[in-house]
Amino acid sequence: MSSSQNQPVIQLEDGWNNVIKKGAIDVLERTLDDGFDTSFEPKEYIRIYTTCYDMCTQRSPYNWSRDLYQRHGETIEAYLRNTVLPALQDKTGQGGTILLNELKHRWSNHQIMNKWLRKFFTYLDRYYVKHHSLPTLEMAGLHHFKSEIYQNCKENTTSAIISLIDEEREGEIIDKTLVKSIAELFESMGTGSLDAYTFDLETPLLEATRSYYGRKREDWIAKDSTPDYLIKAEKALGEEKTRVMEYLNPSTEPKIRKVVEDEILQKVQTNLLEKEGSGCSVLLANDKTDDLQRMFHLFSRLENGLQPMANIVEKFITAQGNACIEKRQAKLDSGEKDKNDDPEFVKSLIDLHEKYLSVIRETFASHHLFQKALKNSFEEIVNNDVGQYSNAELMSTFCDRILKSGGEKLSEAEVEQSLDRIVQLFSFLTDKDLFAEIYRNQLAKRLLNQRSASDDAEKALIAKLKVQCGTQFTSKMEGMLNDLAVGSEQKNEFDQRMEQHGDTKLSFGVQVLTIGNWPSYKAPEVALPAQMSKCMEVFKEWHDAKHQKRRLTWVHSLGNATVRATYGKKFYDLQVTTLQAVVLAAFDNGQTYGFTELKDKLNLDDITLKPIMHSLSCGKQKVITKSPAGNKITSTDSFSPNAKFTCNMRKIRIPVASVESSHNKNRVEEDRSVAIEAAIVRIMKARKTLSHQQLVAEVLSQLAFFKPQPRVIKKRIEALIDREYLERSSENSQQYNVSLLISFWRCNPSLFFASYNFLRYVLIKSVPCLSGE
Amino acid sequence: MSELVKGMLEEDNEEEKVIEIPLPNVKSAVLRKVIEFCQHYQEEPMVEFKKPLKSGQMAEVVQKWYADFAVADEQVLLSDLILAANYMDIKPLMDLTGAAIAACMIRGEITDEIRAIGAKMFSPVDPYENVI
Repeated sequence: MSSSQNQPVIQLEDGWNNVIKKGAIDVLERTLDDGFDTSFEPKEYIRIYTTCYDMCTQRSPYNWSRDLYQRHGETIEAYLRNTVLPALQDKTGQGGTILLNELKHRWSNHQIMNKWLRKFFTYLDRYYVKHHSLPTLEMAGLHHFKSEIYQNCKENTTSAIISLIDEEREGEIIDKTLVKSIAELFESMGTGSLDAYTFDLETPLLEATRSYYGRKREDWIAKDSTPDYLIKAEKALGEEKTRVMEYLNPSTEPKIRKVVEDEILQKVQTNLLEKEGSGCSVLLANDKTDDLQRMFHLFSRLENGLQPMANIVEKFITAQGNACIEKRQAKLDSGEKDKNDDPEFVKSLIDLHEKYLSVIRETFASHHLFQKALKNSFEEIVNNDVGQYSNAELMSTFCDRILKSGGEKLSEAEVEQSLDRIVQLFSFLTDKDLFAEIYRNQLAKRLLNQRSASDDAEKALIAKLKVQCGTQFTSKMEGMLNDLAVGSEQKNEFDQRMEQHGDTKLSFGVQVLTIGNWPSYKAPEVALPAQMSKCMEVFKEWHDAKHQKRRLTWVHSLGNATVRATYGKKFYDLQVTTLQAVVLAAFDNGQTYGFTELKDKLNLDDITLKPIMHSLSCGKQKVITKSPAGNKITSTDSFSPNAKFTCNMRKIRIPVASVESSHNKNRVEEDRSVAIEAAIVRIMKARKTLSHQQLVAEVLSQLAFFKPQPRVIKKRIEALIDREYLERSSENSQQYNVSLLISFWRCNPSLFFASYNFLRYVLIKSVPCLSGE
Repeated sequence: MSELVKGMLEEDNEEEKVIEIPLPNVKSAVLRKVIEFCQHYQEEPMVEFKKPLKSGQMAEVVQKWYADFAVADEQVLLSDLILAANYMDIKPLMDLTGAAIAACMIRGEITDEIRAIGAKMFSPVDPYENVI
């Protein structure tokens, strides 16, 4: 038992010199210097350990813990100062790699020495160090290395490393493992933090990197085109990333990346984008996908690096779009007729949009800035109208072509695709309500003339518009389709009824339309023949029994009929409009009528009757003779059935020239006024009081389907003030109550005008018809 | 378990040869008891008991085997065990023996041995950490 009572006390110098120094320290130093592997046999080790142990557990005054701790430090210090440092200083002059190698060797030696000394003196670590809050043996050893060696060598070491790295950048091969070991040395010198590494190695390295790439940048930008420059930039960034991975601390990666990005991308961004002959617009024009993609990826590393590029893309697309528009303008200027149908133009816009949609998807990874650029440029393009007909109308007619029977021949998938794309283009229109109005008119024509190619296609397009603009936008269109659907459901029922009560020689069908959904049509009160009136009565009876609350208004200007006309022995089936049929019925017994006579008899006006007479007497099939003959209908003409009429076909269609314009422009204007007023009232109800500027801004933000000029809004505000929905209050006054304010205004009109620019509007009453809609 | 022995074994990882590790400060009888402790510990690890001790009875503080173990016999005194544990750096054994001594004090049995330990070991050292 190691009762130290039984053993002799170990004296300090004895223990130190005979055992520790001789057996451990000298041996250690010798093997390190000689370069042999350092190891101690367990026997040896135990001897030294036990000596230390005993010397530290002896009762005072023979407890040598403090001395041993001190001597541990002194030993290391002395060795470093006397042996290691001179060796390093010796190598300093001989070139970077040699110094680094020596340092690496000495560091590794130190680590070995530190380990063994710690093991020998380990008892100190257990208690003494803790009780006196001293650095552990390991730490102490490290500190000594840091102050004796590291502080003296760090600058030379850093420059050696930096020159090696620069060499590697130029393409030389360097000893990466060596650099890695030294980098690790720097890391260890931080004793727990990365500070030493960061300050002593990383910071100088970043500076050197900055100046290196600054030089490279100047060199490249002068000589290289943008794509070539970008390829070099990409390569450099990749290399630096690998470099850090291979032999530096990972924390350096983002910092080095930032420096390089700054030097070779940020500083020349504008230059690269706008370079003559190879900048961004040129790449776009030549569809250089790879180069653009590279540019995109590189600039997306920079803060706000993509906005300039997106701006150029926007300008470019807008220019392309304007080129389409100019082409159309040129066509019109060169004398081509201005119609409401220009499929070539619309298709060119669609194609442009599709192209850049896919470019943005593939080259720019659908990045939102570029999507916005596309949107902005198309908003400009699509609202740039030339000629008599707005783009909204051209687009609606484009749809009409696809949806009507006898229009473009497309497969179902192609129809779907075209409709999809036209709706995308539609989304950029400011005057969406104009499009809606025109579209509705065209839809009505298609539906009423049974010219719609596919009910499904109609529904599909309306559904797409609904997704874009909401239910309110498409409610009338859906109403129209619904009316027809209901009608065809009820047709069977009515047919049975007709059979029971009506004139079975006449087959008769009625299409019921809900008034709000359809365009407004003229309903001339034409004098009908008895047969027709009877049919109408039967229907009215049946309908009123079914729907008591509804009122019917007959629209004879629509509708068609088949008239069996007998000329001599031959008879023909003439397919005509209702009004044509009424006119023909008047000639049933072969009479002659003058124009004015006919007009009065049938109760029609000039505008309606003239085209009808023209179609019957001046067209291809002259079923009625006009005298005097000619191509124009005047009020002095007279008409009679054409006894000499013949035709090869049995069934003959006699078309009438259509008078109506594509839409009622006034209607759109009216609807807009109503919408603006409704918005104003809605806003004022919520806010109670608002300045002029704010009110205008709010109104603009609420209107989704068109964008009025501020003065139009102002007019509406004034109209509402006239009707006493709103009133003005001057900026600086308190809140008046209602009546006071009115009288104030009446008595002081001059004040009203004086404070014109500082107007606030206050809502004083609301009316149900305007609210909510 | 012994940090000392472990430290030496670390060095020799290549060869599977038999290493001789002398332990001059530990008598063979003591070493035997230490080994017994270590072997049992492999099978039944000792619970970590709270310091300061709540009772003077070892059986209430730690498992039965350990309570029985931490008792002096003619050859091996408790003080021997403590010193061996300290020398070989075996923490659980140190805790156990320290606790045993502390338990004695709680019971009020200040034996000669304890006095001797106190005198011998008086240095600012941890074995008495668990004494209230």
